[in-house]
Amino acid sequence: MGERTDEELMAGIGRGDHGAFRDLIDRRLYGAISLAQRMVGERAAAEDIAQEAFLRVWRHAAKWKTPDQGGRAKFGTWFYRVVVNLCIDRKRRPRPVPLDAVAEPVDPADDALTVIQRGQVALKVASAVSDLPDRQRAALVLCSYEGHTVARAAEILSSSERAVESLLVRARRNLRKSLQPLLEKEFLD
Amino acid sequence: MNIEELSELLDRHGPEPEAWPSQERTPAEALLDSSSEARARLEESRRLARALAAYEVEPVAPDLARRIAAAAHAPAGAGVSLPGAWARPRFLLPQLAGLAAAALLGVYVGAANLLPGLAVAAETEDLSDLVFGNPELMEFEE
Repeated sequence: MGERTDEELMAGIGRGDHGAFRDLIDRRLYGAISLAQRMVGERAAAEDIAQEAFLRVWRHAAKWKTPDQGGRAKFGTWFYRVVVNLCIDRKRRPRPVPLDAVAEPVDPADDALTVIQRGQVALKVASAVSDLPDRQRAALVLCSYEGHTVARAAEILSSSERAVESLLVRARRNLRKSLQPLLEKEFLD
Repeated sequence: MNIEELSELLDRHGPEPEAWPSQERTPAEALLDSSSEARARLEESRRLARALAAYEVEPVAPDLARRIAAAAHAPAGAGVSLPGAWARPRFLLPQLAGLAAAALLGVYVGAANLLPGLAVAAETEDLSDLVFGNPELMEFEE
């Protein structure tokens, strides 16, 4: 038997199938946390947001409809939309980017100086991303970090492809401006 | 394609030609072949992409999925906490201290009526949104 699709898992969850819920969490948890962490700039908040998104899945699964059944969005689109909106809601209370916003570099081949430099770059980038307006940040994170196409990001953000492209242009221009001293350093060569 | 159009393309789709729309790729590559300014813009875009790539996210803790599932299955009011709420006690004391300080300040401000405009400002906010979250979050296929 092949792996169940998200929609099949949702049908199972709607019938109270705990195993289906756990499978869906295992499949989507890292994506939810990586999206949320780059949106809100804080690991603990990202985990809380991921949990809240999965609680909504559990509570609402019985009412879930696929596009074939008259629903408007695929599960992944809806789920990422929930995560993005929870992040935007959380982000209304701005905070500085804490040290736990970035992962420790993991390449064992790096020397100590490279590790420190990369950590400093990561912190500055995290701060600059965090300072972007909500929708610019969402478009950038979805497309640059999560690997979504512009079309998929437009679905998630309930927007048009042209609008998402415009958000990406403004986001990258803002980042180039705020990161200019960093981008001129040799470390990025 | 001119330099500004190339810059726009790079900001829309990033520095990897594979990500560029097919109808723009050939003119962009022709411009890059003929213009040092175009190549400088491409390098600028690559440096930004490399900087962004330095912002990594740690893997998920092994037991987080289990804790999230447990929280969903717990009966309402059973008190199963969010994964981060009690697992990070080092953050608890500063939060409680901040809460206490805010409460004391609130009592003082209220007693002294120092901020008469505050109540008006609060009324202009959508309090239901603040309490229950963004209404879009509740969107679901009925």
